Amino acid sequence: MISWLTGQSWRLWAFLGLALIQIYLPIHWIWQHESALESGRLIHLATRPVDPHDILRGKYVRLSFAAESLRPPLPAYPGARAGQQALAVFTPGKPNPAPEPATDKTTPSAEQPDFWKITRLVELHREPALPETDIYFPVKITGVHKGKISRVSFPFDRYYLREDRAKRAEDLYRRLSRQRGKFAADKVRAWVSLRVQAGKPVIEELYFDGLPVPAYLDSNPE
Amino acid sequence: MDRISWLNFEIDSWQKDGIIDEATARRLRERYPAPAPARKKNLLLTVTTILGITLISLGVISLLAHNWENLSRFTRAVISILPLLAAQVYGLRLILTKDETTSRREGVSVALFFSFALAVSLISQTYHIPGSWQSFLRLMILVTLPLGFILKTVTPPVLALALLPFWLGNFPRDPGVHTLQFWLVWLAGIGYLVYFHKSNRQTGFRSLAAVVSLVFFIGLGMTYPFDLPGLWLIFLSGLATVLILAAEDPFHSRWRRSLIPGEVFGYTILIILFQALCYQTLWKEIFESFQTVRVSADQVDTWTTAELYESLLALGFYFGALFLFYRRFRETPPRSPLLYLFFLVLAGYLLARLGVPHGSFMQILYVGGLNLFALYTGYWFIQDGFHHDSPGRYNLGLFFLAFLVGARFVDSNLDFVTRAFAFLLIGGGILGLNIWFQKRRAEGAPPEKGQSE
Repeated sequence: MISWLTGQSWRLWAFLGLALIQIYLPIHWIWQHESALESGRLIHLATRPVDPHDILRGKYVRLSFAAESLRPPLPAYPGARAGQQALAVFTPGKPNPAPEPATDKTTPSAEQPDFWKITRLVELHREPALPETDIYFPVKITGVHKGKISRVSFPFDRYYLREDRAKRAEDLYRRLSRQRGKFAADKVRAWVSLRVQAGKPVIEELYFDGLPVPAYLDSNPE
Repeated sequence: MDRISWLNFEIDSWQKDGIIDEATARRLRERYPAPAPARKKNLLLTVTTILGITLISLGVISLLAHNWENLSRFTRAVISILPLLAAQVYGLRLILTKDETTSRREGVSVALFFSFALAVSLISQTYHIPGSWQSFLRLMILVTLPLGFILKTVTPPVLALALLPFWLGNFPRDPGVHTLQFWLVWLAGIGYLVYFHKSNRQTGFRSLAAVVSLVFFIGLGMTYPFDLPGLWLIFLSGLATVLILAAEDPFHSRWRRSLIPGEVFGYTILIILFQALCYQTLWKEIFESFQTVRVSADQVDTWTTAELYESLLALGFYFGALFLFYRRFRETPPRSPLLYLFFLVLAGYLLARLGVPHGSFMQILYVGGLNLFALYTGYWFIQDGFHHDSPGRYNLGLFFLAFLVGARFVDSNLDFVTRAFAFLLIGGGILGLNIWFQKRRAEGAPPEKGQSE
């Protein structure tokens, strides 16, 4: 046993195996995300303000989405409970069709996309599987009350950008995402474009007033 | 002056005095060559290589980070994995050329560790991939630990094991299944320590052993739930006995030196535990907590993960102690009474578990018996110390007895004069015996012969 262990051949194969795992993981992530960005369906999600800081990966803008709060709550499937993963099915449309006058005096300077909302929640491993034409991805149920699901959380919440620009972007995000009173789709000034492919969502870009964040920061110097 | 230098000096003088001729002197010098002064250099080279690679990596990262946003997404992704690829190619070259240079192997291990961490972090940033600190740490630990085995290096297992408590710290309220994962990885660290030792390699062994031990105690503190009443007695007595017997087991004679810290730790645990067990207060708490739990246990039909883990850990150490005790007993029965304590602990635990009421005859008999056994243990250490001419051992016995008796005086409602006399008596006894023994040694009286422990 020990003589085998001190030999070289197993070491070579083990190293190759480990190297393969080490290189496979990043390449797989790159391929998966590039593929989704290339051919995934495009949807837009309106954001809400938050403020965090990650010690590992430097600064980033933490995202929160209006569509995570279900208004009105959706019927829960049998066995649904908080903390469980479920598939959220999306359709385009304004999350709140009856906007109230916003207190923010400024108005969006770009044309608003359709913001998508969740219309149905189903079990994660359901049979039969959802049709390919559906836009869906896994979410975590965070609020269930009286047989209705009122809140979910999306599996993505970060938009990374260069550290020296992150602070300003965070401040802008907080300001542009804020709305007083009820949510009004036509007053949304910050949103995210998302590519979804076979249940896999990939963030494409964060927009401020219709411009990608880097472009917005360039065209609006401090 | 080391032994070889001394020998060389002597050989010169023997040759000068005509005791040996030149040919003999040369043969002797060849037989006992001066050790190569390479170890310190190797260590220095290893440290500087690791430091150099780390600094270069940080420099490259900073340069890239400065212009990061100007690069396309795909370029960024490719750049993220280039350092990893370079480190892998260099590692492969080391294996293919059978390069055993410690500094290169350690250096490439560190490069692989950091380049993989860099690749994961940068790709996560580029594609805005969500992830948690704990999942990142877990990935790093799992991917880094095997590097030690493969490249015969110490740094990756040390880094992986050092990350373990940080990873577990992410689940403070409910360690649950993560506890099992923690100990499995730690066992892999132990496996590597054994492998390292079997390979007769010295550089880094102490660092690795120190990290393995440290992580063990940190992990124990973080994961042992102390939920089930009295089970910690089984756990501690089993663990301490395992640490002592593992060090004394002839099977591990090559490990003897490495296991001495564990043995000392084991004896310390047993002595403190033994002293604590001699008190009724402790047993009262344990016996009464069993009564409380018996009521609630009827209402709960399933065990929590923590309770299951606690039980498995306690039983694991206890059966480990039984196994080693059996091996030892077959050869020569252990003479130290402390090594029989874990049987008595089990007896007390079973009494409480079976619902024997606190203060009952059986319970008082048990604690009384323990006290008598403790007195005998103290006496045995004193006697054994005299037999082996070992002041350390008989003083241990004296202190053991002194604490056993003295603590009663602190514990009880006695007036100060009585206490003062008791302490003077104990202190005087310890001092007097030591002076007498030293005098006896100075007079050259041969120590009494006894069996060796």
